[in-house]
Amino acid sequence: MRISRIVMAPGGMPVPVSSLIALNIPLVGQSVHAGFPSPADDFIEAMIDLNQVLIDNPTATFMWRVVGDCMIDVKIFPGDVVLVDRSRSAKHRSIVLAIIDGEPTLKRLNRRGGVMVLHNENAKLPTFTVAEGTEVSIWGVVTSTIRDLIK
Amino acid sequence: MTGHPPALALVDGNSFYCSCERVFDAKLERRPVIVLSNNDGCAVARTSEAKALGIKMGQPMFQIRDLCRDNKVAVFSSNYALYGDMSRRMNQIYDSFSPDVEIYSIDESFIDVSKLPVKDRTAWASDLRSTTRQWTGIPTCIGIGPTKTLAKLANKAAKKLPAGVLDLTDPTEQARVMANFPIGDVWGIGRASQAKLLSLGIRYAGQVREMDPKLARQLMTVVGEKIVHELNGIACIALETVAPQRKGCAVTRSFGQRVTMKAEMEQAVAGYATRLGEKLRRHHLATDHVTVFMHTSKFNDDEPQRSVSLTIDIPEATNDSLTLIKAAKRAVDRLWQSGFRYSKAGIITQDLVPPPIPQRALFDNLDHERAAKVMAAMDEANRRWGRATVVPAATMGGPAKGQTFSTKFEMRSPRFTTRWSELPETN
Repeated sequence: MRISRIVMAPGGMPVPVSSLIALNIPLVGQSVHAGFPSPADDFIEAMIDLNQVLIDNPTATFMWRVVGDCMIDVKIFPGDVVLVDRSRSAKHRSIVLAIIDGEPTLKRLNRRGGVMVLHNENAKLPTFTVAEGTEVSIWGVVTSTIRDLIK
Repeated sequence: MTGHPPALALVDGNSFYCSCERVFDAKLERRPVIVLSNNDGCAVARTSEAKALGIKMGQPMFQIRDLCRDNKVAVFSSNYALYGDMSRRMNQIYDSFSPDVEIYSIDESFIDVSKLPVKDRTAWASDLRSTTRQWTGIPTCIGIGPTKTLAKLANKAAKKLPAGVLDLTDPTEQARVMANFPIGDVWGIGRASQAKLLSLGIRYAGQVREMDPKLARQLMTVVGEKIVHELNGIACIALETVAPQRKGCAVTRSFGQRVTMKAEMEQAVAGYATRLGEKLRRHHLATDHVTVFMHTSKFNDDEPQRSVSLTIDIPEATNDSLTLIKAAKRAVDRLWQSGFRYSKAGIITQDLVPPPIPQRALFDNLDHERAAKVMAAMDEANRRWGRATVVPAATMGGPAKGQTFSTKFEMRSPRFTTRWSELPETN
């Protein structure tokens, strides 16, 4: 590599830069080694991005930590993290994060003769009912669960 | 091609910080909510319920502690990780609605809507608003106008409408709204300018619009002249040239040891003024007043108690630390009373504006420039070698390097969206 830039040494004499500093140029995209190029070079791909796989709309997706057991029959356990997409509209059979009287809770949404009804998915719990005058809203639709199987 | 007549939408989050807190705790919907500044000094965001209780923007926490307790106000420390992430999400939505988005502050963005047919604008804005609400949970308001100043004015007026959207591109509609729009709510009219206008009997934006631009310039420097033009629909502030305008800025600290000497208090407050100057310069902002407060500790209720504050107006908006120190020291001089053990002091400003371009006499100009150079050199030294390497002499002995003032976040909510260990919990 030829260096044409000149700097002034303390004595005032011009000195080529290459004699003062070691050049360290990162090599991008190709190999300097002699020999054959790696046959894998043409097939290098980005890693699988779990965000991309699991999250349809990142702008509207939030993570919540599960602390209750009302959904254990559909394998959502305490300690799991659920991905909740606020941009999806809740449909029949959606699992939703509902807000009931200000408290967040996971529920199954079922349509019963034109009326949407929330259920627990835990046979051991009494049937879930909403008292008259209770404020209910859907915060978002659960799209995935994440469970750590080591810890 | 001459293009379309300009139209800008300003979209902002309603009580933005408070709304972020409410997204992850629905129970807060029924309570007044406020969020405090750094160090829990004063209220920087309030829901409408909190405003109705009389809590003012920038009001020091010690003044409203009882009020908050009695009215079950939910009080939060600033959670900038959360607010920043929610802001990012909102701007992603805006970006999907328009290619021309300028993020103006953490909760405000200007969107160029010139190309949108006039008849579709309100529907477009309503759609943007409902999408943002649905996807992020944050309620917004949108104001549309031919200039930034009018878009901001429309936004402010939209807050009072159930639809939350107001298109003020039509001159007749502008005149109608401005007729009773208070000057204090007009973008760029700070406290000092407001006082000058009021003394001339000018109370509403409509009257400012009718002003002779030259007179406005005399009263409020070149900023005033620009405001008059902007209110008349003539754009003077380009999309990207305006620094993010922060609603307020505060530097407050609890003292490590009680302060009983005036000199100590002066040094401390001068230190805060220095920090305030740094903050303002970093954001290319200026202020035309400082509020200094000091108080004793409620925890020592056997001792004499005192809690005072004073606002000093500065003739021209500035971010020069030396001017801010002078103003702050004047406040300390007026407020100081011996015989008390002060536990905390601070300096607060609101209504920040872009720094004025010097318009005074030649000598004054030179002074401005010299001051700006001194400040720039000081900031650079502090950036390079750490805060408080170079400080104005007035602060010597005040908050210095390695001192034990650290930011308190006693009432901060979890960083719900950015920390794996702090995710919101659900049953």
